[in-house]
Amino acid sequence: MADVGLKISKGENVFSAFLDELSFNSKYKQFKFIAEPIDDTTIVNATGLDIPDEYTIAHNQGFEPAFISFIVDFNFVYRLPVEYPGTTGALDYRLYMGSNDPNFFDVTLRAASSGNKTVRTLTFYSESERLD
Amino acid sequence: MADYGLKQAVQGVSVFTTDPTQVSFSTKYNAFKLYEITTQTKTIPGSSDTSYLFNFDFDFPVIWGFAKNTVYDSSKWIAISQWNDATSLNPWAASALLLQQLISGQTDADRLSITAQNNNLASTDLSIALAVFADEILGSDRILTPRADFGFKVAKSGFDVLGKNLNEQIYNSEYGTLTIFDSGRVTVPKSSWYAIPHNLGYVPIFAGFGAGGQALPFTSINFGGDYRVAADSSNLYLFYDNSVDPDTESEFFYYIFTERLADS
Repeated sequence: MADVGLKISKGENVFSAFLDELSFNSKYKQFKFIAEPIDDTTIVNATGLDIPDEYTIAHNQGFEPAFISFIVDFNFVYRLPVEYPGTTGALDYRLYMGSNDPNFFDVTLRAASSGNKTVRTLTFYSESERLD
Repeated sequence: MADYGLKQAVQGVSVFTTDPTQVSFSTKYNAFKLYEITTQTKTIPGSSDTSYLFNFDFDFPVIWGFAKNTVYDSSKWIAISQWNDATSLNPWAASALLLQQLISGQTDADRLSITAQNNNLASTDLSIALAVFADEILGSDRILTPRADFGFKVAKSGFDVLGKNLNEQIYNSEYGTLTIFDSGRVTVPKSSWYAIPHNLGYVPIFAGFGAGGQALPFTSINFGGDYRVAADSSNLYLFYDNSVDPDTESEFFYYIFTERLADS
């Protein structure tokens, strides 16, 4: 431990609290996200037959941020990645860093049947934690 | 950056830095507030399904899931998201998981249903631990009775710090936040577990991102897929395998947090 800084405990004695009993410890960085997630709704003209379709969501950071993403599908919310291997393809979504442009996330889905599919994703990303 | 608020830079860096990566705390950003760790363990007979139902104190929390089973490796907790693999022969099929956070009607929005599928003939004990955060995925208030009559709160910009809605708070000392004990980018050889020591003496909350050898960009890691991230009380473990990928290694970015997931 550094002999300077700020510590806040969750209720234990701050001088003897273990690391996981501290709510804040200035020795370490917090894993911080933007205050509200990007709420994106895209209508995808799905190819079907488990063939992947892609679209992008802009975050405009210019680098690869840490992220956590959820998808709303029918009446359910799932944390990504959602993977349903095989030929049934009822649900299969992944969210990647943009492969061509660091300002975007790439979303890939594989649908079992063709036609328009409305996809809503909620993505938290970090401006202070970058993966690249 | 806002022209007001509270900010702390990492050691040795001016707090006036405009580089967000050099800031360890800032009221501009939200640190997920850890509300609880909830764990269930069940024995799943061979070739059977078992359901786990978790009830929460509020709707649509951010949830990070972890699982441990006795068939594959009784010491490692592995990060899970959603995975259904009824046909694969990979060992994690012993506890394929289907997570569903219900939203069809408000009465179900505070529950998480998990179906665990045991494709092996032998029974397995499967534990599921959820890190539940007092942060929302979809809009709903977080009006919770304060646990303590002391502490430190920071409101989001424009909100009253004396308000009781946790959604309006960047930081509240009643709750732990994901504090980074260690992080980094490593290259992991294919098809073997790669250990990174942390020696915390307990199993911490952790996260990983993987980029496969097929020149794929980073993606978050799920359960049973090509990328796996796990931990025990001594190490974080990373694993990559893809039978059609000719490359022999993969890139990972990992986080080990100070928050406790389990004792062992």
